[in-house]
Amino acid sequence: MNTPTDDESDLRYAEYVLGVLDADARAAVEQELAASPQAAAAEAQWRQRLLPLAEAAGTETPPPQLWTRIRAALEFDAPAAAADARGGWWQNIRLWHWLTFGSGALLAAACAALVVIATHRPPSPPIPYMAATIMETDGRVGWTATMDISKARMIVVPGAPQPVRADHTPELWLIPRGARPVAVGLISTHAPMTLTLSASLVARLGPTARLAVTIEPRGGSPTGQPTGPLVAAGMIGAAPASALHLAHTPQRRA
Amino acid sequence: MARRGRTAESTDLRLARERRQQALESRPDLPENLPGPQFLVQAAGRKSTGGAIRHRAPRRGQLMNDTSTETDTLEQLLVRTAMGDREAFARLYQHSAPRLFGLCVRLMRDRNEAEDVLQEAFVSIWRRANRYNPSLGGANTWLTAVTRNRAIDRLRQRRESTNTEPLDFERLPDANPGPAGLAMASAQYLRLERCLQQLDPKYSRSVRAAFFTGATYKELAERGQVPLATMKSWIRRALLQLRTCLET
Repeated sequence: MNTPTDDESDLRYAEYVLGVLDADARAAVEQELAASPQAAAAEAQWRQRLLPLAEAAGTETPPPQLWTRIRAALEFDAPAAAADARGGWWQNIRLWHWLTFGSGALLAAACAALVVIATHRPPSPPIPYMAATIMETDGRVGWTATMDISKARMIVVPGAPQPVRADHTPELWLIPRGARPVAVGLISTHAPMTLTLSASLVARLGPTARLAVTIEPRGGSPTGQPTGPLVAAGMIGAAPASALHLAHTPQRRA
Repeated sequence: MARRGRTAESTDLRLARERRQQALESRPDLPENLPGPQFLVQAAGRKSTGGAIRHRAPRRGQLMNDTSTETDTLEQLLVRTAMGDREAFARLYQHSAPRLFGLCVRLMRDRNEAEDVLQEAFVSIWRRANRYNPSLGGANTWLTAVTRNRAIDRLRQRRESTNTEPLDFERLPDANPGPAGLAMASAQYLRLERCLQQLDPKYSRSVRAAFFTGATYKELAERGQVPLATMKSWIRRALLQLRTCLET
């Protein structure tokens, strides 16, 4: 049933769940889990097998102030942060996923989302957001990327990308017009990823730049330049920014 | 099932109303006919009722001690948490914190640190609830995994292992206090316990020691004064035998 290599990788997930790996090995497994749905499924199976043992630890009542500490850490009671409730709309990956799941309504959805978002931050000037739909060669939406310039981060939500072969991972590149690709980070075919952008990367984002995805060996391109096949690409657009603009000119009625 | 779907939908609608309300309060000039939160909710509702909530029968996530008249499962509370429902998050905490705190205390062997870990775990749970995938397992298991991963990460950050207590895998008593009352134990726990008891005692003791101390192979080998390779092979054999045992 199980070949020795199957057992070997399956055992690594078991060791990860049990917790016997050192910090480096744990990090390596976590990267694998983010990149491969098969790995995530195998790990989930080991969770189901082993974690019931936690019941043997029994229960302890946490001190009542712990809940207060958690609320404080999440800034639940800060009235000004109402819009930033859970780290802000930005954190609501699920929302983005739903919004971008079907490619048809993508732009409208992004606009609608940003209209709502804009209204949550009353007196601020238009916030620089950019977005890109990264299409696969067959026309399917591979990923959707949304960039928050002020916070220097990009959220990349998979649409329906082609599966990636074992030991490989999709890598995202920024290609400024007329320049060489710059690595943005490793992304996943099944899980949303938030990537932190360096200042130099942020400076190069703009409507003349393009985002592209290539398939690289696990851990990313060994050379710092794309080595694998290009599977998807898309221009960076300022559409959501104009949606923000729309939100600030409310007299425009349909 | 259908009722549960509606409950979720009405939560969406309530959230939408709140968002709309907040939007109106902060932007009194917002025109009524701009694409509003309803749009978002339609998008969200489609997915949530079709996916997470309806798919998952409330088997082991079912709350045992829920004194309220509602019958939310941990799964439902977690899905609502992912949508930013603070009340659901509070109830999720209320129902799962004692169990998770018990685990933290056991792993960290220090109440203050256990409190820190539980706090970090719930901050993560709030922020990452949207990554919970009900098709890969129950909410209970997910919450346990998040908490345990936090604890293990923290144990790894300690410059030196603070737990150097010797382990004698030949004589270590099979201390399996079990849940306070076995009546409270889940079927999954009892099955795992039966399978552990079928293993060579050295193997099962190694697995238990690993599980409840969060120690690495190296730390376990040192504390048990056995070669690293031996410790690895005990645990790996134990894991393979457990996998087989749990499949039957």
